[in-house]
Amino acid sequence: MKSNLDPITVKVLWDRFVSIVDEATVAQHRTAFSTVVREANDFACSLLDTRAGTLANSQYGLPSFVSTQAITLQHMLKVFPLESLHPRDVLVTNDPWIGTGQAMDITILSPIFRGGDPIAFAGSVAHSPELGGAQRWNRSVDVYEEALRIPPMKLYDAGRPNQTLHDTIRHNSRLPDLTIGDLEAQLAAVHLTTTRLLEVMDEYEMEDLEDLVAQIYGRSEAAMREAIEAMPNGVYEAEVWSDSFPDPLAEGDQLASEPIRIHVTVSVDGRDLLVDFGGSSPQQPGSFNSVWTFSTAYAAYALRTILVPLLPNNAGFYRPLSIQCPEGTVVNARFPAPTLSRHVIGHQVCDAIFASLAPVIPEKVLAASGSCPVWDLLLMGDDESGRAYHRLILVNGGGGASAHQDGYTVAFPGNFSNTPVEVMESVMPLLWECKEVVIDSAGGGRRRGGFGQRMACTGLRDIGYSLINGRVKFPPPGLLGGRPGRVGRVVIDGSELLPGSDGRLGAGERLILETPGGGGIGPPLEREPSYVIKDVQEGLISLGHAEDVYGMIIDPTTWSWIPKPPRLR
Amino acid sequence: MAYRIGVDIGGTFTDLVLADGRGKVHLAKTPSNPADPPVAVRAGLDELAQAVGLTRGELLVETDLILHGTTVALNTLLRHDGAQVGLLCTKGFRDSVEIRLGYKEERLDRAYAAPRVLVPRRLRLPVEERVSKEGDVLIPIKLEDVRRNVQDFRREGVESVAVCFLWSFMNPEHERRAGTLVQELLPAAHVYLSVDVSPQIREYDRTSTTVVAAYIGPTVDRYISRIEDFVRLEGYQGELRYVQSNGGIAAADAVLKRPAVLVKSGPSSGPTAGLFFSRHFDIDNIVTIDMGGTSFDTCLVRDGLPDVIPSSDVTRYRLSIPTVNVNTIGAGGGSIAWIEAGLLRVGPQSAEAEPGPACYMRGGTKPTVTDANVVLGYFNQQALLGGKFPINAEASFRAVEENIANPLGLDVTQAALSIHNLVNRNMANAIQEISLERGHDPRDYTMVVGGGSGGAHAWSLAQALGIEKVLIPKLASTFCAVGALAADLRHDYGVSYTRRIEDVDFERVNDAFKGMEDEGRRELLAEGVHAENVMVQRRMELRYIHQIYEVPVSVPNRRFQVDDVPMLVELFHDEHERLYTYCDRQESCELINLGITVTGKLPTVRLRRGAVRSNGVKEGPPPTRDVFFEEFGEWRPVPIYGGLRFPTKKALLGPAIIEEPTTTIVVVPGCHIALEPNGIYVMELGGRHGG
Repeated sequence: MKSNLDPITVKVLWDRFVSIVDEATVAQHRTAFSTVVREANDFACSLLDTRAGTLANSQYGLPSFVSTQAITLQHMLKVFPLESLHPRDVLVTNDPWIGTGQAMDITILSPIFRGGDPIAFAGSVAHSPELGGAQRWNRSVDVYEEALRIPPMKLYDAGRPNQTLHDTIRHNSRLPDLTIGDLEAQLAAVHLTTTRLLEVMDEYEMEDLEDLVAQIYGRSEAAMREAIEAMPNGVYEAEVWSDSFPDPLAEGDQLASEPIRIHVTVSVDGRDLLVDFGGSSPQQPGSFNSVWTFSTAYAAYALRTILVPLLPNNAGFYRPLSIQCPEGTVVNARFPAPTLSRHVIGHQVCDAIFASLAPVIPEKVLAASGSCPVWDLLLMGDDESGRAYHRLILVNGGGGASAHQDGYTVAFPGNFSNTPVEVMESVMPLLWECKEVVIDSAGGGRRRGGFGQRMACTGLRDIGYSLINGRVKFPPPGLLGGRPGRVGRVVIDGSELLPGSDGRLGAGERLILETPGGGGIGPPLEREPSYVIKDVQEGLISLGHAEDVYGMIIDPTTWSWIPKPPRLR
Repeated sequence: MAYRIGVDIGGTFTDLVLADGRGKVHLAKTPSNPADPPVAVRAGLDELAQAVGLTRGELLVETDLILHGTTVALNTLLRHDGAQVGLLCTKGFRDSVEIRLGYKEERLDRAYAAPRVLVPRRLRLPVEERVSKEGDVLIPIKLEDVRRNVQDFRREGVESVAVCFLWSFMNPEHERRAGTLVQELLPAAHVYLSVDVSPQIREYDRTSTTVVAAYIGPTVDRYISRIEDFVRLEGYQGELRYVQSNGGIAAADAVLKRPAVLVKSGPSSGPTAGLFFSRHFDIDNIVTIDMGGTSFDTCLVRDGLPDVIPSSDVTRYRLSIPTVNVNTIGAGGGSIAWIEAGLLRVGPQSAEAEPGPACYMRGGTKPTVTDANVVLGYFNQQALLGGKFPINAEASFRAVEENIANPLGLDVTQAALSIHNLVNRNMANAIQEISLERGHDPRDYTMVVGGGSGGAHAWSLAQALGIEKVLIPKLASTFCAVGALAADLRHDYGVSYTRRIEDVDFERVNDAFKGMEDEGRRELLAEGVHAENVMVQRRMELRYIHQIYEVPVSVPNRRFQVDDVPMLVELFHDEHERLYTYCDRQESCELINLGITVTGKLPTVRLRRGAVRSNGVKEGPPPTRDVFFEEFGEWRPVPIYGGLRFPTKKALLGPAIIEEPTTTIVVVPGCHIALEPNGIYVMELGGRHGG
């Protein structure tokens, strides 16, 4: 078959590139050793062009990982210029500032050669099982405490392993076999991407990807610009307030700062869009700091879900975007700040973008999610038979409302899965007494948010915990007159914990987690009254909530209602 | 004569296949009648009876087994018209079917709605009780709660009750007492206990499965009564059996106890059908494809064993029911071609049977895959279904021209070819998902083709995947009915017992296996299977300590003791390595579930020479029609064979079109095709078949 780039060939090849990285993703998933990769899907694969643009990425990868690989490659090419590379070179780094924002993630990139010339790169990034560090998850004071630092290096030089680096990684990991095993899985994925790309190019008799890249990026860029152009020109601003977190250097539980502000200005100018996070709070002493790569990735993700939600991701979408994250702020902490909990701040970038554009494109935004940030609960100790366990549980809150849908209990923007109560009880000395939605926790609105969940358990033995959470003080805001969701809370034997706490749950002590509800959209008084009545009938909201938020005094015997005076509906 | 009849009732067509016990097979295809399914069955029976020279009544008297695949359960879920369900659950856990697992299936779709919950919250009512993970009673059941909740159920008109308590599979007593009391207080209600439906760890999965059972149960019950009444009234005295999601069949009683086993009845027959055909060639590594009007189903069979997975999501509801792993995508003859961002897309939306492709002239104006095949000359230009169904080729041309060719600046031929190629690419991706992405190279497999639209795409699809041999039975369009006909009885049982392998109490394991095996044998005996035809397979589902997902491992069929631990652990490592390419032999593992499959073998059906009707060779060269093949890059006259006149055992080199009464086979240039006397076309790469 001849390579002629009619729209059909472009579409077929584009689909095949997505299939190639999907296949590589599955290969990495199947061959990975660690459960983080295998079960939390904390990894992604990409195909990139030689100018460091993303050509295709796996459909199941985390939003952040799929776009940071391009940034990593840009930096790699400064250290290792394109013309200096050889076939079967593999470049590696875990530097948060040119990678995923967290030192636990390893990015590898390998040039793909055809006819003696590099024509593309295969990439893979994965959360490593163990890379050393002080293991004070939410208490690290700088990046040196968080993991071994791997600067941009060659892991393989023309196919020859860099033994020094392999040994260094192995000797700096508490789980050397798992860590090296997962790195091998990344290599398998990169090799598969390389092989498959060359097969497709053979089939279509393609010498290089130049034409095709131009076509794919051009079409994606045009679609993005068209969507931007459909918005009115203007400068749109919003801020979201995040809880602040304990100061790792302080004695006891003291918050590091005043609340954290994430401020964004979005300028729509014809077919261009400028995002500026100027005005955000200064960087934090603890690990609750995002890095520009990660903040940019989530900002772009939010914009893509608004503007072109259905088209596969590639560099074309980023061309009309300019995203600025001032250095020294919480969205772009300066080296050597600790950044292990960067997602707590980074996820909330989405809420800020949605809020800024809500007045202009109310149909397309989401109110803030109670799972933004998602809650990570790390539990560790010895079980009944004296064996050690170490389990990470992800607990989501209520999703935000959209113009057409109520929110529900879901993990947005991360897309993690909950652990069933019976599984938790089977592997840890805990007895759960409930897992239910939190009544009245959803933010009211024409469309309401999703409900948070309430989970309570009793420790059967002493259990160590470490909690990375948020939205305990500042609720997930509503949009366009919608109310915020209810804040979350964490209580041990009657006393409330600060966000980002760690400590011990003693045997017989009771832990209560209540995750935040999602924000609502539109004025609650505009909600269709039958929906309010249905929520009361279902026991999701109380009669008092219906009256306070929706202005409806409902008679629970006849289900008739009258407006609450003196308001008019 | 002892006839056996397979019946597959789908949304569009009702397919019947009759085997006569001497290796001859007949098929009938009639339009479904969703309002009253037996109407279509009656018409099909008439057609079959005519084919064997009997009346319908005579045929039924001489038939001893009817095997039935039905979409009634799936349609109830799709249409959301199941029973009003009430759920009794452990106090504190009423929301698990609402919270689900907390993720969105479509992550990029910002406004992706929550699935409709099958039981409203006001009918999910708590009962005070608690059992520990060991099965000890921590809080005795408060039957007063059950009584009070049943009053609510009665007031709300609940007709079906699901009961699911935490850890009930470790100690079912609370569930059983609650169930008995509900039945006493609401004698007309259907009652389903999670320990009967899916006695396995993970409360969300178990609750969801039990709720689905309760939701579809009354509908399934009514449907089965309707079908049974119908065949009895027609004078049928033999057995009626149902195809389950696991691909095996079961009697009505077994199905009614666990109605969720019917959810994939129908498509689950694909692998059985594929094996039925491939075994005539001693092939048991196959990929089955079934391309109908709206969807494309594909499944991998390795070493004669279909891929059966322990749980799956069906229309977004979690079902912990062993199910044949059929990958379904929206690609069929009715799939609509459309344009997004200046690029062509095909499906997943379908024109369905109404209005159907543009050429049907029933009001459809959107171009479909069928229209593209008409434009390219692959399909007959006057009528489909062997002349029974007139079409308008001009309408296909216009639909492709106006909606695809003009906007994309292509000529109509190019546009139609693009639609044909793109739907092939979508289907190839679906096959890669179940083969390459699971570590199986499709080049090691033979493709077996089913569905009315399969024959037009099979060879291109096989080439895209590097598959070298394709089997297309004349019975392709009634694929699942054939699968039903060829299936064995099968029941799966499972129970959770979670322990580190070194802490396992093997007496308990042995008792559990024995209990499940006894129940399976009882069930098969009731279905008329003699002990010598019963096969039992045991499995343990194991995982490494920190994993979330367990791996099913086949274990020997005998009693176990502590000394067996190293052997069991080795089996687990090996299976883990086979599935995931690695294992960690230093690590220990934990047991999660015990499972048993009992199979009751039925006498095998085999196709003989002349198995499928054929009228012999007609003298003289076949007529031709202008057809466009990409390989030629131009229109050329191509021979058109009526399927009933195609010579057997004589290889023919493409290009050619074979028009079977219920399917059209496109023989691409360079492809060899031969018809075996048993009614199966074999396609191979030119030069391989001695041609």
